[in-house]
Order: sequence, then C-alpha cells, then structure tokens
Amino acid sequence: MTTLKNEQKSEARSIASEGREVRSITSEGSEARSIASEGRGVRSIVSEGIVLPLDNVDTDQIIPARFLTTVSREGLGKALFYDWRYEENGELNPNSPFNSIASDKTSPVGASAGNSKAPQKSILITGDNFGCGSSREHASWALLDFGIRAVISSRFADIFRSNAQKNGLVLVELSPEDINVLSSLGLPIQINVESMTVQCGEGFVRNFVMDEFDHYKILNGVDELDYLLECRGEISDYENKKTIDRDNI
Amino acid sequence: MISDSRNMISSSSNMISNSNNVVSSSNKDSSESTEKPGDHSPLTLYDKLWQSHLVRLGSGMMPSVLYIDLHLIHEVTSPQAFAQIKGRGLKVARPDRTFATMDHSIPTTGRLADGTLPVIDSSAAMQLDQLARNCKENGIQLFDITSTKQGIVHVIGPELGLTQPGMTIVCGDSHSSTHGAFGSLAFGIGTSEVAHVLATQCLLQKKSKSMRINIDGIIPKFVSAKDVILYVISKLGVGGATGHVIEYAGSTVRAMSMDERMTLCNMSIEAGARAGIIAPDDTTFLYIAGREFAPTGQEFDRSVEIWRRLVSDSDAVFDMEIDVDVSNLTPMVTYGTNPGMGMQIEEAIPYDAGISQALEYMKFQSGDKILGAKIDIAFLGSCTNSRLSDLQAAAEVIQGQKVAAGVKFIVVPGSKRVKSEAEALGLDKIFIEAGAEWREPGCSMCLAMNGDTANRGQLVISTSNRNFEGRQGAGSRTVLASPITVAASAIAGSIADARYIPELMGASR
Repeated sequence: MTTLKNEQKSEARSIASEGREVRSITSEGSEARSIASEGRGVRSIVSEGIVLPLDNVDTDQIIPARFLTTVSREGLGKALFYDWRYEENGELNPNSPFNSIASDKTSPVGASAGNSKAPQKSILITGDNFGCGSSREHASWALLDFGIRAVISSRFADIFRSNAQKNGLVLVELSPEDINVLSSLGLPIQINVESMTVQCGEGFVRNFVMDEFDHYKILNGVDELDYLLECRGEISDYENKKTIDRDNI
Repeated sequence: MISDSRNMISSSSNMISNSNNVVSSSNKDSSESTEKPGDHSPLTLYDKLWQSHLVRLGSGMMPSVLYIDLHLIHEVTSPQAFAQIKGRGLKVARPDRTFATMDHSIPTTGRLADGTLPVIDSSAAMQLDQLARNCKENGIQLFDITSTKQGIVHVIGPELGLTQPGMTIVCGDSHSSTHGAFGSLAFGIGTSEVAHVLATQCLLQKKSKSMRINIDGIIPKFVSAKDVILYVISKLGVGGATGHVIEYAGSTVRAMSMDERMTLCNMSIEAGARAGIIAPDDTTFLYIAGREFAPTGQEFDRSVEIWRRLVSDSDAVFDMEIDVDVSNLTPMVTYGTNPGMGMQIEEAIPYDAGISQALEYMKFQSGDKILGAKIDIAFLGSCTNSRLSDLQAAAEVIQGQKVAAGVKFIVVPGSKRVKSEAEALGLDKIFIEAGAEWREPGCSMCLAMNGDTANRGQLVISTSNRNFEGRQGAGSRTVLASPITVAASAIAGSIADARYIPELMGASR
C-alpha cells in the first residue's frame, strides 16, 4: 500500500495541448524522442475510483451548456456534472459519487474544489457509450480540471474519445463484466498506461487495448498540431494540385 | 415498415456487437491497401470523399492527413482555438475557406428599445466579442448579428451555397453532419481540432467503418423526415452507429427535398455516427444553383458533371447495411432522456429496466401513453427543423387555430433569410395570430444557452435533436418530435397527433 501511495504522488499528470514544447515526429516515428522523462507523458495513474454506474452519460451532463460561455480552457472543474453534483438549492448532493461524506459534511472530491481533506479520486468508472452527444471539448477540460485523469468505460463516443486524447485524459476500455467487478471492489486502482494494464487488489489484473497512435501520444505528450505543421509542404502541394486538376474529385 | 422492424432489430444487435470491436479494428484501416490510388475495388461514396482529400495517407500507427475544404465556426467552440494558435505565433492558413456566424448564445428576442442586444450575461457577451475580434484579426468573414446572412451555422452554410458536394466540411459542433446531405463528408470536431484546421486546414483522421441505411416507401401524410430519423435512431440506439459513417440511400431519400435530407443527416450523430452522407442528385444541384457562393455559368455545369460521379459504386460493400420501409410510419416522439428512446406516438411507453432512471426524470410511466401529456412549452427551431419548409409545415397545422392557454409556443427561424422568406409568405402572421412568439434566428432553446430556457419540471415538446436531462434548462423535460407534431401539441396543450385534428383531415399538403 505504501508503494502505491508513492506512485500516486509522482506520476499522474495531465497534459494541456497548448503552449507545450513537444518533439515532433515523422510518419516512421524515427525522430520521435520520448519526453516522458521530463514528466510530460502519462505513465500510470493510481487512485480509488469514482463509480458512476450509468450507460450513455452524455456531454450535456458532464458539462451543461450554460457553462460553455467561457473563452478559457481552465476552471471548468467547478461545473463538472453540475446538475448531478448539486441540488436545486445549491447544496452539494450527498448521494453523488463525486462528493464524499466525512463528519456528516458533504464535500466534493475534486482538486478544483480545493478540498485537501477529501481523498483525491482521479479515476472515473462508468457505463457504456460515455461522452455521447455534443462535441464540446469542455467535457474533457472539466474532467481534468476536477482532478480526473482517467475514465474506464466499455465504450467511448467518437468525438469525446478524440477530444480526450488531445488533452491527455486516459481512456480505458474494459468489458461491462470487468467494470462491474472493478466498481464493487472499492480498492485503489492502478492503470499502467505503458503496459496497458489495470490492476486492483490482489486478484484483478486486466489488459486493455488502445489505438497505437493514441497510446504513443499519451505516453510521450505529443501534440498533433506539431505533426500537422510539419506537413505544410505536402498541404501546399495538395492545394496546388487541386487548383489545376479540377476533374479529380 | 413494421414487418421490416425485425430486420432492423436483428441488424441493430449485430451492429452493437460489431461496434465493440471498433477500437481494435480501426487500427487496420490506416494501413489497408484499399486506400491506395489506382486500386480498382468498388468504392463507397465515403471512400471517394476520403481518398480525394488525402494529403498524406496514414501508415503504421499514423493516421492520415485529411484536407478540409470548408471550416465553419461559431462563438462557443472557437475562442480557445484562436488563442491556441495565436499563442504559438501561427496565422489562420486559409481565411478564405473559413466562415463564421453567431448562433449559440445570441438572444432571439431582438434588440431592446435603446438598441442594445439583451445578451444573457457578460461572459456570453465577451464570447461574441471575441469571435468578432478573432475574425477581424484573421480576415475571416463573419455573419454577425447585424448581417442579413446570419443564422444557425448548419442552416446558413447550405443557404449561402458554401456547402457543396464532394467537400470535406467541419465545424466545432456535432451537428456538422447536416452538410452530408449534399454529398459531402461533414463532421463535428472539438476545439483543439478547430485550432488544427485554423492553422493547417487539415486534420489527422482515421477512417471510420461504413454503414448504409436504405430507406424505401412513401412517407405517409403528416409524417416527415424527422419522424423517419427518430425511427431509425430508436432502432439503432445512441451508440448503434459509433465508429461508422452512415450513407442514407433508397427511394424515400431520393424523393426528399434538401431540407428533409438535412434533417436526416443532422441527427446522424445521435446514433453515434461520425457523419451522415446522401449522394447528390438533381435535387441537390437545383438547390445549389444561384446561391451566393455556388459556382456559376460554365463552372457550375462542369461542377455538376463532377458531382454526378459522387455515388457509391453499384457493387460497393458496406461494413453494415440496414433496410427500412417507411410506408406505414406514424409520427414519432421520444419518451426518455436520449434520442434513442423513441416510439410511435400512439404506442405505450415500453417496459425496460434500462429506462427506469429516464422515466423517473421525465415523470412518465411504462405502459402509459404519451399522447395527452400536458406540455408547458412548444419549441419550433434548431438546426434540425428550422428551415422554411419546417415552418410551412407547422403553419399549415396551426393556421386558424389558437395556442392552448398556459402554453408558450416559440418559433425560431433558422436564419435571417428563412425569417424574411417566411414573412414574405405571411407565416409570421399565422404564428402570431395563433398566439405563438415569432423570434430572431439562433440556436435558442435547443441547448438553452442564450436565455431561452425552460424552467425546472417544465415539459417541452421540441423540434430539436436532444432530449438529455436538463438540455433545455436544468431540471426541464424534453420530448422530441416533428414540426407538425409540435404545432398540433401547441394547439392541444398536450402531446397530440396532427392526424386527428379535424380541420386537417382531408386537407391536401
């Protein structure tokens, strides 16, 4: 248990996709250098899980539209699952898995609430088709700002998946049966991104599959924009070709 | 249609088991040889659109680089993207391929007496300002609140002739799928991807799987494209098309107007699809002809020749194929908290453990009919159904009738142009005389960001595309339906079936 706590402190970091110096990569990956040693990639995440046992959790729940009037990517953790975490009268909902109860007082478990007393839970375990609905990337920003570093589900919606891995939010797919087991164990979970395994307690070890490029990006903190900028010559060629060669659809 | 529903159901269970494999199999797509130029295997329309926009073909683990012909932007998902590229000292690569509008957070209630716009709060105002500033700095054409071309982004793109067959089109909005109605590859993207497109006019993309939905049969009277797509989604489920691009085909689709095709493609995302595409034809070319950004004269003729080739090869193979017969379709409504929870309007709400939380939220019960449920608000608008033909269909129902006491009926045209065309036809007077509110264009109550909000507990019947918990206001309840059903319900004061309004019986459409 002591070992786990040490890992918990050191490795779990999220990546913002803007303003970071990252190494660029060629299509063969030959010039790719790992910058994980600089602490920018995500290697492993250790935490107890927040269990949200619902299928089809949509991005309107993750972050309601009225919070989308921001011009920033920061500070959205306060609005995460707002209408499920707070009651009508503005008080924290004691029944929400995002809130913890200690000494009869309900407090949020998120970093953004500045709550150093409640244990940080950075893994969300949830049902099928997480993140469906609107394309708002604000959903990933809100999760990360709240303190969540990984989401475990049986399936992620396409646009949400794409947004998450541009922000270093780790997405893990396990079978619905495994998710049920994990949800009920109530023990700290270790997600090893490098080896693509999930461990929990003594008996639970599972492998998960990740798209190779997503895996590479999350381990190395790669920014897709750098790669695209490297293609500018080819993009220009394409544009010239299209102007001349109208008959080619 | 009902006889085919077994096909639908068994197909959809296959689909659900297939889509679980998407993560592992999508890896293969980028390195498969079917993408190489010169390959003569039969191609789907999606294949053709994909191949013709490859800047760099993906190989190994690398995705492909896809060129984007048209980038539409609005105030909500763009500010952070502009900030991102500015922060890196980058310029917008192709301002001439980028067009902006204000739609999500603008008020629909028009200017106040002193000329100011009642924007809901200072952060929304800042967001709108930011868009204006970003567009000015980067030379991007913005159809702002003073422009006669302003409106909901997925309404004005086609209206202006910006949306054309054969294009790749993106926007930071999931209903970008709407533009696929023109035979384009159009999909929603997140803000980081908006930044990628601004900086390079390209995206990294992995190819999706393909699905074809063949729709046949003549749509019965008082039933519409909205009912068709709600029916399809009720069978597919909200994750049923995840990882797939849908092509809609069949005689019903061929007979549809562009507005109807847009309604179909618009809601593709609600089944989890990456995009929805309809092959262009004369209906498409006629729609585009003469629009502001459409080609003209000889160039138009040449374009049409090229566009005619945008069809799936007759022997093309799809990863999934489904047949739907709509000849017996009746109006559809949703009863739950996602667009897949839909049923025909006369049915009883189903029994299913999986929907118990949804029914609790909606205050509905299994076994009950949804017909007759009292409504508080009727909303006619959104990128799904706010075009002239949608307003006309609703106006025909409501003409000479009155909105029920205690019901608020708000009508939000999809664009300034739709609004003025509707006014030229006197539709505004029909709605106002009936007791409805005639508003300025915008997304409005579809996602209730701008002040057009339903209160906690209120039941809204809506022509929009999402009935998620709290979508139209925290604690509000949404039933999705067609413009005709929404108008009929506004009159009845409860969820109503237009086919049983006596004055409409025997009326020709």
